[in-house]
Amino acid sequence: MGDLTVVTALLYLAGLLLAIGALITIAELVRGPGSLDRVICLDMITALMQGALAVYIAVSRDTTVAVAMVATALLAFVATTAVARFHRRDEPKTATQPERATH
Amino acid sequence: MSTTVVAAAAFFAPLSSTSGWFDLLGGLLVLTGAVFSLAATIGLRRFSGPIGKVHASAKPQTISLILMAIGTAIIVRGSMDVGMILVVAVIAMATAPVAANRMGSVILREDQIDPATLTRNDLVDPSQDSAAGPDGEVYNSATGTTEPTSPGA
Repeated sequence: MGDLTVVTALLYLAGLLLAIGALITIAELVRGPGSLDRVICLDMITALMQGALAVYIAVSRDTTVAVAMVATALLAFVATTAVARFHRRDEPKTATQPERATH
Repeated sequence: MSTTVVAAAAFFAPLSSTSGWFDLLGGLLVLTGAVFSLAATIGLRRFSGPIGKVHASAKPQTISLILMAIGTAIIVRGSMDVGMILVVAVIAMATAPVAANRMGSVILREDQIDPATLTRNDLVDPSQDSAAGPDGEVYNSATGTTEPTSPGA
């Protein structure tokens, strides 16, 4: 994408940092013990997606995906709020699993 | 030797014009935002429990989005979509506190916070009148209503 200048070098570095952050977040998404931990990780991933879109706009000077940034921001808010509204307590695994096996 | 000089001249070419300095400012803002994003994910990894992760995903992530949106808007200045990019920063500022507040409320209601770590608990039962509000009422998490503190409890 064009010549490597001071500006594009900074933007590529920013994209690299976002990629490292996304990998850490996905590892945390797999690890997180409860459903709420995972929801927060998904919220973080949508925020990282917005950052990646911003870096793409800055590198390519192509602003057609600016609308996608706004849509992602609104969807992330609605998703987190809806989960917070309708979330149910996680069932403890050790207590319920043997009970069900006997039936 | 001369090819190195030419490559270096091309690398620093933006610095020969005012427009290039604006590009550099935008790039620095985007990079600072990315650093904040990485700090937020490291916080997600290191903080314990859901409430700590809400901290990590609410504050540095919002700063990061604001910085990256402003930096991108500076880089693509003159385009029609600058307003749309700045709207992202406004949405981040408006929705992050609400989302974090709702998530924190759910986490507190589901007892995923150690009460000993709290300096003030807004969702305690009425028997602990030390946490009652100035009007002597506390929120009952079981019934979802506000009730007066029982005297002498």
